[in-house]
Amino acid sequence: MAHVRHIALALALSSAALAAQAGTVTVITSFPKDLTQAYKNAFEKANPGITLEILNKNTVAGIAYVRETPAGQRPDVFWASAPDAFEVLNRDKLLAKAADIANPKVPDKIGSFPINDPGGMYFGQALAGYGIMYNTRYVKANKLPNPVEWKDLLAPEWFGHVGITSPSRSGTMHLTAETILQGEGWEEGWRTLLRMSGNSSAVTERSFGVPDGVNNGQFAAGPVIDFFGLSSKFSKFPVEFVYPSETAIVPANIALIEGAKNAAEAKTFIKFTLDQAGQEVLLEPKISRLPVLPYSELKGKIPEGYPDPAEIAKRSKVHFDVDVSQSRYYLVQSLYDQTITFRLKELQQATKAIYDAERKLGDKAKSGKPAELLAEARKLTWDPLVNAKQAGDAAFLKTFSGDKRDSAVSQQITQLEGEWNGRARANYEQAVKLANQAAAL
Amino acid sequence: MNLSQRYGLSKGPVAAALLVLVFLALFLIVPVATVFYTAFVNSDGSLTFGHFMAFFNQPLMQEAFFNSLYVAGWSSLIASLIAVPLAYFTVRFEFRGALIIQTLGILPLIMPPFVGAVAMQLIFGRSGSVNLLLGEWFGINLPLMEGLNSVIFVESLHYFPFILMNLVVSLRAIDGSMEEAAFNLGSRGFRLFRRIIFPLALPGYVAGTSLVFIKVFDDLGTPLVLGATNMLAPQAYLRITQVGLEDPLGYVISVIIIAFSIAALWLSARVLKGKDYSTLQKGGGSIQKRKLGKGESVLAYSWIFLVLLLVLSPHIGVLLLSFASVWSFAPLPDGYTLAHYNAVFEDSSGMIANTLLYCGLAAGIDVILGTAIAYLLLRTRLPARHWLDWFASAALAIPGIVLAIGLLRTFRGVEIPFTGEMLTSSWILIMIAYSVRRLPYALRSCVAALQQINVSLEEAAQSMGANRWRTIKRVVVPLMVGGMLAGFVTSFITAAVELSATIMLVTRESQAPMSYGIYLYMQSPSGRGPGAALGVLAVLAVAIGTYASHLLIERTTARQRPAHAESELPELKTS
Amino acid sequence: MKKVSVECRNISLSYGKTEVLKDLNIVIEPGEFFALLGPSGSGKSTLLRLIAGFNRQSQGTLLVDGKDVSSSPPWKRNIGMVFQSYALWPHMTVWDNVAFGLVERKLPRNEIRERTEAALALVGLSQYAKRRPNELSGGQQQRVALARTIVIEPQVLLLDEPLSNWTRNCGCRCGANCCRCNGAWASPRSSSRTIRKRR
Repeated sequence: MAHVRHIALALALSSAALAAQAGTVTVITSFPKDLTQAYKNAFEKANPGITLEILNKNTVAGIAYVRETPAGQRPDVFWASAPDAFEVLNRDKLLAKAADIANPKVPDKIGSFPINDPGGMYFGQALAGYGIMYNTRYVKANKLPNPVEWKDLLAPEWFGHVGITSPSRSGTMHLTAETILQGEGWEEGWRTLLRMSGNSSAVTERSFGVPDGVNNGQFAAGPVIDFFGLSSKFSKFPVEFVYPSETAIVPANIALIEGAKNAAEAKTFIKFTLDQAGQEVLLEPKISRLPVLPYSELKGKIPEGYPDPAEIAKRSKVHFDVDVSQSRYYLVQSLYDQTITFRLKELQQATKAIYDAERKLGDKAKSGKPAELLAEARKLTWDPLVNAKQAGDAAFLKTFSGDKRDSAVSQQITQLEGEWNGRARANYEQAVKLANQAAAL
Repeated sequence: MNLSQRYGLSKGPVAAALLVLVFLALFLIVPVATVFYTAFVNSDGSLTFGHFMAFFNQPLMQEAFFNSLYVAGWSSLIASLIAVPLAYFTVRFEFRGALIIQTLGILPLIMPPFVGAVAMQLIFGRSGSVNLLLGEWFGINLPLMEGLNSVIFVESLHYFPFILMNLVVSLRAIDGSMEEAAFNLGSRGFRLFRRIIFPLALPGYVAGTSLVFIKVFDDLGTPLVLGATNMLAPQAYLRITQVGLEDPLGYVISVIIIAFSIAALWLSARVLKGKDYSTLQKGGGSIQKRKLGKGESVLAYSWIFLVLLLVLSPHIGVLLLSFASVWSFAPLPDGYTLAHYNAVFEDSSGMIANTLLYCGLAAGIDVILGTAIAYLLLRTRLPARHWLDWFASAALAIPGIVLAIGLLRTFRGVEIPFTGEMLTSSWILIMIAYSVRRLPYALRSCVAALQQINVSLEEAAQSMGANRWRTIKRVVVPLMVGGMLAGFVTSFITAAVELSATIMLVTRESQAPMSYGIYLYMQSPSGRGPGAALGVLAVLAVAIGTYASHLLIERTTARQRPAHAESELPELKTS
Repeated sequence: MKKVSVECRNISLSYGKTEVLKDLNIVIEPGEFFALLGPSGSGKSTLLRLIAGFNRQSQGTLLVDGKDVSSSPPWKRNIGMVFQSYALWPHMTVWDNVAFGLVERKLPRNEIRERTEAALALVGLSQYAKRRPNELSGGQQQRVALARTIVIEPQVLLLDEPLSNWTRNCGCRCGANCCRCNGAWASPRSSSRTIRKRR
């Protein structure tokens, strides 16, 4: 009968799987299929006998996965955009030292940012910047100016046209948020984030949701990692990408996981990605990433008009501090989610109310009672619930790294989150009232 | 008389029952129990309601809860609005469009909702084809795909066939004399429908609608792809994958989802209790079919056309996307190409093979288990055999993501013997998850098939010298083949398009079945085309499979139709 | 074929609270032709099924050929039964239906062929061997059912309501053929005679 045949097939396949284990390197990564497929092809060609297995998870889920898999069964390599994720892994002792495979030709720093971990636990494999990607057709159809800086997205005419995602779902977004926070300071940075989110139409589920939405014209613009913008352009989507002056070039890292199943061959793969051949893969238009190897090493392979990371890093106003970012990793995510992601509707309403009032009142908005009301409304909508002092308080930050299984800790955190959520909602609703009051004057 | 004689127990049935029980216990009962346990337990092992308190204290969670109810409720409503008129047209009127309606009943189910969701964005989204045109002509923008609306829209279009099919069966079972009696007493038209016909068809409607409600409430893939994460299932997924398998809130959410599904099932069973309205009497026919008047004709056909267009929109959208070179902020793609199909054929033979393997094995297991349970249920007097039926059917109320979470937690660290590989990273667990969740479908088919077989056929075999096992082999199984096949196909198809459990259990790209493959493709700019192409292939495969099995079932049941009228008896020979 | 006796000693059978057979004592002598007559619900079919092995008595003993067969499953009793509904297997041809019992007894192929041919000839259905049951009329189906039971040469032959579909002509001839083995049949009649119970 049919199922007997199936069972035979299954047995045959599982024994084949057994045989394949020895020469298999498992890579857990948040990178899209285009990139992983290209590396898989190139690596397997150069190393017949080793098979590359890709496990696709977003950064945060990847960390959780590694943490929960017992040692000896873990994937071999962790490969992701966000350096702070690697800090988290390192702190939790989930990475293994592999200093011997570093490529000496890779410079120490990009801008002021170290490319490789000084402790030799992880390596920069590619460089990425953060910027704004926008859909030229949409922008034209809605008569919006081409954005150049983050601040451009905060303007009232951009209401409902921005796409964003959340730091808890996207290492990229986390980095972008941190870049803005470090560039503008905690409180001013949160204002920017809140205003941008107020102008957004949706918070997408993965970081790819933003470039995807811009690609098919769902929104006009959004913060994306540079290679998404560049590769989409290559795929002939009607989009453009710009690096604002407040940007960071940070390395995307690769590391050997502690307790990996196949450490020896994993090192071969990591070495491959850092060598000339592996770096050239990054330059393929479908992938469009910036290499860590300086352009002097890759003469002749750089496509026309390709951005130069060294240049951009020099131009950037932000000196990214990984330690700060790592210390407030979960705090930033929680605060963002509770006050923006899960309260998006109210935030949008408050933002809209303020713009409508400003537009209606015109010059009258600048003085007297309306100005007072609007200022209060703006404060309620766009000021962060946690001020700079609290954000720097070590004890406060410690709350977020407790063991969530402990129902006391879990309750504490969820209570705090609940508070923020509730307060945010109340604030936004109040802001709507105030703005409407002002408009009626 | 000893125990064995009293209950007619013998080795065979008991062994079979034990095997089934072990399977269900290991892969359904224990994982779900683990989920429940974790929701109620502290890290030190003490019992606590603390996690539930934490859940209900969070405004986000309250909102997710309300949103899930909201979406499920509205989806059921809209699905009803689509299905009820269609059902009525089919049964009431003489209608050339009946075949179209039947097709309408199948089409949505063969397209996985998360694939359709992407296409629906392109057609109905704020910058989609429809809104671009509406914006140009009328200056309006329909928020069809904003926030929760998008989930409601996609889900209702996908699930309305459940109501349609159940309702049609119900309506057809109403005896024509019911209606005639009402005519006689002066009722007609809408009043007749409201007072007589609809109430009598209620069981079918309730069965279909409660199923839709549960499935929408449980669904993970669609809200995830549409970005509506403030609902229960996506929240559970996000928490477990991001905060970790230890996060208690994920388990609390799972318990709540299960509780609601069971409540919905129980409620619908209560409403239907004692209301077996199948009134078809001997010699009676169904309600009269009437001819359509001119005006009615136009109305009916336009409604059907509209629904057909809506239902086909995800299919058309995916088809266009699979051939599109670039489709952005425009009603139609800029240009067309075959490149995506090329990419798919190069890359994806592995995925297709995986789908065939996992779903085929799972469906096979389901049919074996379904037959065993059906036989134990209907042909033995094993004590507590009903429990097997209940447990197996309970899998319907367990959402895919909850089962996946439970399996991951129960088998954490467990190695497959002789291979040194973890069960939780192996494709075997994926296949098991599929088979457990599809078992209810196969079971119902097998039970229905076995019920059709008169016990006397088996008794005749036994009196001819065939023991139980031989009887099953020579008589029962051949006669059940149609039903077993139907169960196999249903299991296979629903497993092939499922994403909720798959997302949680796939650990390597090489393990990915087609549904996960499509999801992966959709994560990069140049991947949407190939993703759509793969989606088209999946839909085609499912459609062909359904049609082929339909033919096969027709053929095998043809032999078993009742005999024709008596004829002259020939002369008897005496020896 | 050896002729055997069938004896019921103090047989009682209840379905739940309903007593269907109460303290029944019957002896059917070897080679005897035994007819059970009675109105619906008097327990005729129940008794036949008991003898065949499909029902269990709550009390009492059932002896075939002097041996207690109570714990013997139907397939070991070598008792042929013609069902009221004929119970022909629709997925098998007439030939396969008739040969079924012989196949179960693992007889050599020639013997199966010979005996099946003979049985079919006996009931006059040789030319229908390749047909399916649903292509036959009711009477033809009944003859197939009879053929398949006779072909195994059972020790006891049970016929459940066999007269409902036969014409008079057919009935007499088939009845004559049944005298080869022990037979018992049950049939409803409007007569007021009920089953006598021997004390």
